[in-house]
Amino acid sequence: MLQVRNVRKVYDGRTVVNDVTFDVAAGEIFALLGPNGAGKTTLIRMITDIVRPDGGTISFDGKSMTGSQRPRTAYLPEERGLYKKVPVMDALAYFGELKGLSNADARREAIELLEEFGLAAWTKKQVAALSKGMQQKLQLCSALIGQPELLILDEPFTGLDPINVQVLEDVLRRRRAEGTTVLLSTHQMNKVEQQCDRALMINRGHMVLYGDVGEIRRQHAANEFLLTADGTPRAVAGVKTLVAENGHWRVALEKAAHPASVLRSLLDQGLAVRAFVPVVPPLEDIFVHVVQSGVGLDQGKSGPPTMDDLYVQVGAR
Amino acid sequence: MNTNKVLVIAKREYLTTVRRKAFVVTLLLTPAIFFFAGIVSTRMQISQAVARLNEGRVVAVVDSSGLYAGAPFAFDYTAPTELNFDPRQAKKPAAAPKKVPVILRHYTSQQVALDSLEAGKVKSALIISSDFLASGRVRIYENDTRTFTNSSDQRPLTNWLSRNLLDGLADSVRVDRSLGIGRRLDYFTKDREGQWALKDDAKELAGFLLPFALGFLLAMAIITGGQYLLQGVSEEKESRILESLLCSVTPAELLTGKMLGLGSAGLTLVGVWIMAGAFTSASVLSFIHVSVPASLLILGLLYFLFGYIFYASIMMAVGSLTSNLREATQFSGYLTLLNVCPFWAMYVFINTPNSAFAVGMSLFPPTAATSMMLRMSASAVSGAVIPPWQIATSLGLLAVSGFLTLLAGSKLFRLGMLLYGKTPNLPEIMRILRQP
Repeated sequence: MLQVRNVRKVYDGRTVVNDVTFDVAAGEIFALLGPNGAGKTTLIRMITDIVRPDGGTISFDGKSMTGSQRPRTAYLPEERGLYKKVPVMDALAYFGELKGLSNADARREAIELLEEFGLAAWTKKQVAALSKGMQQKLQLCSALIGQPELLILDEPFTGLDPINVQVLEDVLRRRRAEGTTVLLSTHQMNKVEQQCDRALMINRGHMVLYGDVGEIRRQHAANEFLLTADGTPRAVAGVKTLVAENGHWRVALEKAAHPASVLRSLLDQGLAVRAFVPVVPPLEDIFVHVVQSGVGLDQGKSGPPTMDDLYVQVGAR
Repeated sequence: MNTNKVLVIAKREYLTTVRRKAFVVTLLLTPAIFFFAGIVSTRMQISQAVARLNEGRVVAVVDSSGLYAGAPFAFDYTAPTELNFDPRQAKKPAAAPKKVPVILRHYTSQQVALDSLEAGKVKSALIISSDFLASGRVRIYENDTRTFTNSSDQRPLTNWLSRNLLDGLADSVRVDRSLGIGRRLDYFTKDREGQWALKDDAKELAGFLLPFALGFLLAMAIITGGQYLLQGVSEEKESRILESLLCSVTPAELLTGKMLGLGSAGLTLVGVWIMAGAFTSASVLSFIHVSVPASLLILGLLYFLFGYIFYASIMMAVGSLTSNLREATQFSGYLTLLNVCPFWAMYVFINTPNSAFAVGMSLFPPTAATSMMLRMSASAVSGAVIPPWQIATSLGLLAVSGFLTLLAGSKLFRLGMLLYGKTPNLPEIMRILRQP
């Protein structure tokens, strides 16, 4: 389990990661969300030990992320590349060896991954000869090789066609089943809803949302229900608005109204109700609302790092 | 530090580099260029000079002194036999000296002689002044457009002048001996042990050239290894691959592996050149009894090691701080110049290897490696002794500087790899270096 406790990073007096605490369990796909410049990359760099935090602790299964104890970690950054002038197999095997595999094991695992991603026919070709999409898949392979215990993927779906998106989703599901801890950073909220168990959203370095994805969506529901019924419902007590929508009825309740009472009243009308389900907002709407309203932000000096901040940050390491 | 990972990185860097076409081309082309410049062109020059000397000639003579009125106006010139230093030619029977026919035509005035030269009737015009006996003034006119001409080409004429000036005053044996004195003069000087020893120009030349070549190759190895490192870091930064790598290895492991692998590639390049050079020149070196001292090789290796760490660390920092390879190469050019600048002041090192300037350059870390090799070259010729403390201090300063630049380079590398699209200025770099 990845444990991040009260982690803080300050650049020149500007707090870019402010007291962030979260856990990611083994076999969990966890979403790290936030607008551009929220501090996600800095947080990931602290987890991968590229940057040291100014405060707090980061551990994996109770062990430090630094030094020889650190877990087998793979990181696929959003801005990523590959060695271009080498054969596909060599490029992949090199990453495997750096993760502690022997050359033979690295090559064996590389073949398995290349087959999994439909790149087996390109083993001996130069990386530069691959299309952009193929290179994208190879980059994913380079992250996945070596059976990482902690897999951090930043926008992994970018550049993939729908078929390969499915391939990646299948791979992630399998890795989750095998117990890999997956940290997924993406702006594709539909993927978070489909793939992730829990999520953390940070804005200007602050934790603004954290928890089960479904629970977060339910918490942000606007007390609206989707009614499917035979016949036309009439307004009842506790209903603010009643709007027809694609063969259904969107029922907005008053703040104090209880859904069960409203449903009882509708049934009492003699309406044949087939479904009365709460309307849960998509994560994207929640994201926009939270960022625009500035929920959870302090009035202090927080925000994304400037280039000057980076100098101090890395130099201090 | 995980040694296995360091070796994996070093192996990859080495193999990737030596398999590059550019490496193979450099490996083969550089000695080929030196071979052409040093041997082929020299041989062409010599053969041209010999051919010129051996061709018959018709010369217009204007003797205003009257000293040569009775001299024969046609003779065969026989060039003196030169010592042969080439062992491959040693067992071959000496070729019979070639006789070159020379015809002299007497002209009454310089103008007529020059007109004849212009018209191509004669090959050269020899003008002997009226006061030749007192002043020795002689002029030779030729239609020669070559930039560099050899005065020895005129040996048939100068011999003719000398022989006929002495005609009747000395027998031919004395005249011959008189003309050949300079060539058979044995020159003795004191050797390093203070004993009189025959000065051996060939051996001294080899004694100078060996450390000189070693210094040159050392500079090349340092530059080459450093350039590969610069290129590697710059390419990895441009291809945004470093962050993925640093998830699996520490910056220290990555740097050590790169320096090891690319330094080995630089050494391979120079090692092959040295072996090729040793193979082709072994027969000559053994003929003149010159061997490469082990101390020179050990010192060369130490200077390479510390010099490489020094320059490679700087190159690594430059590669990681700059935005792309082109920008990185521009910066690295100045470092390369710094490394080879002792060659510009070579005359100082050769003439005064223990001067304050030479000592200072060999103690100053950026120029220490090449400067000390040049001093050792010069001392091989002049017999000057380089105090051991200077060598020890020079190596010590270079080692300490190498260590410090490695620390600074590592720090800048860790910063630079995360910076995309901007090259920090000097105050910003200094700010990073001041961090604990």
